[in-house]
Amino acid sequence: MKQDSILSAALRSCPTTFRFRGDGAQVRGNRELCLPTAPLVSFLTTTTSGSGGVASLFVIKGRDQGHRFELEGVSVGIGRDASNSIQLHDTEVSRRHAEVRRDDDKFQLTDLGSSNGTFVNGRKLTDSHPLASGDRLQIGASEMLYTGPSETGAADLAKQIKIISRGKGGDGSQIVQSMGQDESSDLLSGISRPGQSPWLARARSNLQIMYRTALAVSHTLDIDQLLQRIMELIFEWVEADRGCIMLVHPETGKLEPKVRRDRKGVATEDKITISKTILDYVREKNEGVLTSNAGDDDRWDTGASIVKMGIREAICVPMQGRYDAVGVIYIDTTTSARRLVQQGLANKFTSEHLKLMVAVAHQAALAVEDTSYYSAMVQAERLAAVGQTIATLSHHIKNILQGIRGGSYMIEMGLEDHGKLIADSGESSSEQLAKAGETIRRGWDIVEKNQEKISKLVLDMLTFSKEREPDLQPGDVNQVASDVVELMVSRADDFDVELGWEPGQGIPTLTFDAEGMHRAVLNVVTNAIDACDKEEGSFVRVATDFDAKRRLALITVEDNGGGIPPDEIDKIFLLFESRKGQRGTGLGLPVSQKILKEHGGQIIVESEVGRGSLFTLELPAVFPVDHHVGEDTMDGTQDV
Amino acid sequence: MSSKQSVLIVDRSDDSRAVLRMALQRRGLEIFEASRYEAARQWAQGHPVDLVVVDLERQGLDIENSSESFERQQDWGEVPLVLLGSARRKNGKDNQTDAGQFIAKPYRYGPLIRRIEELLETSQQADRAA
Repeated sequence: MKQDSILSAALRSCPTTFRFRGDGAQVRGNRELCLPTAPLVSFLTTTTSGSGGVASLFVIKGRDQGHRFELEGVSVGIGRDASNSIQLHDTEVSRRHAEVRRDDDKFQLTDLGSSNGTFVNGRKLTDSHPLASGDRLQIGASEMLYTGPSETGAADLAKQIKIISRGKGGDGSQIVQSMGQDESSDLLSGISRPGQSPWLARARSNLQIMYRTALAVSHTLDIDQLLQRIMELIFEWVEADRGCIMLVHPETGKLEPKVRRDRKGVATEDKITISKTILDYVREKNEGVLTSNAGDDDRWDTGASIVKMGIREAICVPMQGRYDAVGVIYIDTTTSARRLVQQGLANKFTSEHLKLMVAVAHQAALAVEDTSYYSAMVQAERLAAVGQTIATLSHHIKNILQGIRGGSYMIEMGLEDHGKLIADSGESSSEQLAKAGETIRRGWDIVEKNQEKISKLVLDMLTFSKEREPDLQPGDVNQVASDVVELMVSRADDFDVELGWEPGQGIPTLTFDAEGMHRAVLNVVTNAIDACDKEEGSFVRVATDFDAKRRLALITVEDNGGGIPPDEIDKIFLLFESRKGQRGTGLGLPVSQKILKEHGGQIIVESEVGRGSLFTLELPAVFPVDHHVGEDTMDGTQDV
Repeated sequence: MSSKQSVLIVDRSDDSRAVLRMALQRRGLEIFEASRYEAARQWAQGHPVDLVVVDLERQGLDIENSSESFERQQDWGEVPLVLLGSARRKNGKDNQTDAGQFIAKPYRYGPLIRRIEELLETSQQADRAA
């Protein structure tokens, strides 16, 4: 049985099907905006396409999972050998396995006579294959997703589409009718109207079902939840007693039950027995079937299991996705002998039901594929992020370890000298002993400095990683800033930076997490000192103020360092995006920002290359409960 | 002209320079220090030294492949070069660059100092032979 052509057409035009046909160029932007109902292509584009819309391959399975390879140059080799532009660390991949050749903006994939072959969307390549966005490549045990180059940049589109104000050269259009989302679905309502043909009523009803299916599948990224919804919808439309959805296990290829549903108030058997003959037919032929053991379908005559099933009608349909069948949906209904006597032999399931089930199953399969690939992408991204985190942290820990080794080595030298001097006590002078002591002291200072570094790193990591509640207590903002300045004096001296401190007057006692704020200010001041790269005349000024109008305590940290280029300002609060090279962990500013956000505040950055930067930490004023705030206080004229 | 062999240490970290300086001075070497690579290179044009130790990582010059290390060696001509840097290297080679010596962090000072002494010894022998 083939899919109904009208329904197939409806399917092709439904939003879920559209997901894979969209032009990625139009959806680039904030990744979070695309979630959780993100179309897969837009997800691929936002996460895997380079900034210039370069075509790329993203490894979603295999040892290189999480790696994204941009397809640059005329020919890109894929293989196990290091000479390939895309080297896959997969023993099932040949040394020179495949090649992607570029012809303008088109990319052709060719297998280079590999041992295990190259597959695109489950089909083995026998010839060159033109790649299309969303294509799934299987090379050895590795799977990659292809994202094509963007055809039209956002800048080009901006020229093609213009938004104008009313009366400024427009065509004078006025709104004559408007419609909300709810009403649009009413248009597809299956309720028959007087004089309407039964065919039209049925078509409307079917469209309504498809509309609701499309909505249902587009609102979840949890496969179990998704299948549950599909089953609920099916039970609303079809008079089934029992139903289940089975998905193909990606590794074993066997069907695994995922969801089961029984109609309330209908006594059903505990176990759903499904004929293997039917399942095999559905999977092999990729067709939905309607069965009835009271029927006359001669295809089942040889299937012994049908006979055992009693008087039962069933519909079993394949969940055909974009690439493969991802599972089957099965529903059945049993008519008891007594009802048969009362009502005669009347089929509950019709070919109309079957058509709908095929269409619904296809929709469900597309959604299952979306969800699976989305999960694979998220997992791949997560692995990549974990890898980056480990690499960055290892790097910092390695440098700290190097420092500790240096300090220890110095202590060792000092102790060695000291030991020799004690052994030759007769000849040792107090000056030499003091020198050995000084060496030990210097070594110990280095060790301590590195202990501080690792302690700061650990604290920053903890602050960043934990969802913590700030410990809100009445406190003095000036005290916090002053403590930080005092702590940073020696670092500023080391770097020949003049550290200034201008405490604001009339700042009221506020409720905040003093320890957290200390950390936030400390990180910003440390950065400011590190940013000073002048040979002389470098300064960092810390100041506080209270903006009574905006009810904000302000802590400003100004430096006359190198400044931050405008295109890098957005990045400075990103994790591990250090601008300090080897000296920075890339944790400091994200931690400060997090702490301010925990207080409902923020950090504002103004910077000019070559002139320096001004960081303003805005802490919203929360007054202690027993604190009475008068107008005078808010004007900042009266100290409380 | 001083009979002492001389070593130029190029490292942004005062502490690292201090450790190496102290260790090498105890072995009778004359030590020059610089915190920045370019300044050190210019200074060395008028002040020949017997060996140069550069912490590449702290200079933001860490080498990803052998051609870069070759370029670094070009900066110093025949002078033996010891490069200290991160272990992440694409060509998979560990310690030996095409020209200089690459030592991956975190290194131990004992072996580093022994390596410096060996290189100085070799270059001294070569000078004598010449």
